[in-house]
Amino acid sequence: MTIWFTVQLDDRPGALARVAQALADRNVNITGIVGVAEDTDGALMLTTSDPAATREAFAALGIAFEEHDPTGAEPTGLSISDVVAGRSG
Amino acid sequence: MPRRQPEPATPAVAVHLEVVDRADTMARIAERVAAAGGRVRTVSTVSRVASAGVEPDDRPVAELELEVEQADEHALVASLEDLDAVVAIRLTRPMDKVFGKRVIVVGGGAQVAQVALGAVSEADRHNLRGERISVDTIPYLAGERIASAVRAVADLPRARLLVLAGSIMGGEISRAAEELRAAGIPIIALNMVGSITDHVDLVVSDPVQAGTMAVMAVADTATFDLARQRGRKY
Repeated sequence: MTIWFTVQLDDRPGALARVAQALADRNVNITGIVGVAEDTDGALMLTTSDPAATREAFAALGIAFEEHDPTGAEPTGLSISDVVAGRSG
Repeated sequence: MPRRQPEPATPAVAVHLEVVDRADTMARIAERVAAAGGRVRTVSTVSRVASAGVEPDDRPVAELELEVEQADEHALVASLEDLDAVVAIRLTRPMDKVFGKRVIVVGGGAQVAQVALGAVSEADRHNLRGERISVDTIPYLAGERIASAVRAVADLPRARLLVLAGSIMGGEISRAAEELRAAGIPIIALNMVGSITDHVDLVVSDPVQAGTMAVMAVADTATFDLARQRGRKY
């Protein structure tokens, strides 16, 4: 099962590099990425080769994250903003 | 949630990259962007191609689209080109220069189609004059799904206005509409049954006219100020 992670990046140069390096240090490949800073708060969605190591990397960085299972039709009915804002539906 | 700005604050450099699909690739790219003082506006995976395994140097490759603000085009390309993970790189155009501002139409299929007729026709007039306005549509029926779609508009880059087209909307959709307006995206609704007409910026009975006015409201080359029409019903 593919797991999509959503993290909120700081709006400053190097924010993406920090996350990507933390994953690379654990030999985790980013297998899919969608990040849009334009008109948003900088939410980054990604899938990786190793979800467990990805969780470790986020924890080490102290970054809050959400996980999504895209196999359900509408698992939460929430948008990215809902997830980022911590709304539970 | 940031309030929607009328235009991107700064121009962006857009590049299409073919990269070796390995763990440190994104880190190296992001490092170079940061070193160039750039700010990533968008990054997305276009496709991944597994190694064919025919040649000894066959490697899995991924295609990426990257838009970077506050970076010099030539310096950025030169810096990325220099990475051993980068197989190929070419300049493309940022999405705001291709698809531009987006008018989103959500609701019942019959009404969405009529709104789109007006919106696309009006967008054509402005795009001929050099603007870039696109019209996105999604026909939906269930109320909960419409409410989710309304909220998700806040996550769509370059979305500038939402048109709600249908016969009956209210409840959760009205709450979602208020949230979206608070995020800086105005809403035009068709005149319909339900509370939605009390929670949008403008109510228009004729769907073709609603689509036309929606595009006029976001166009630079039109003299139509939605703020002066707020709360009215036509």
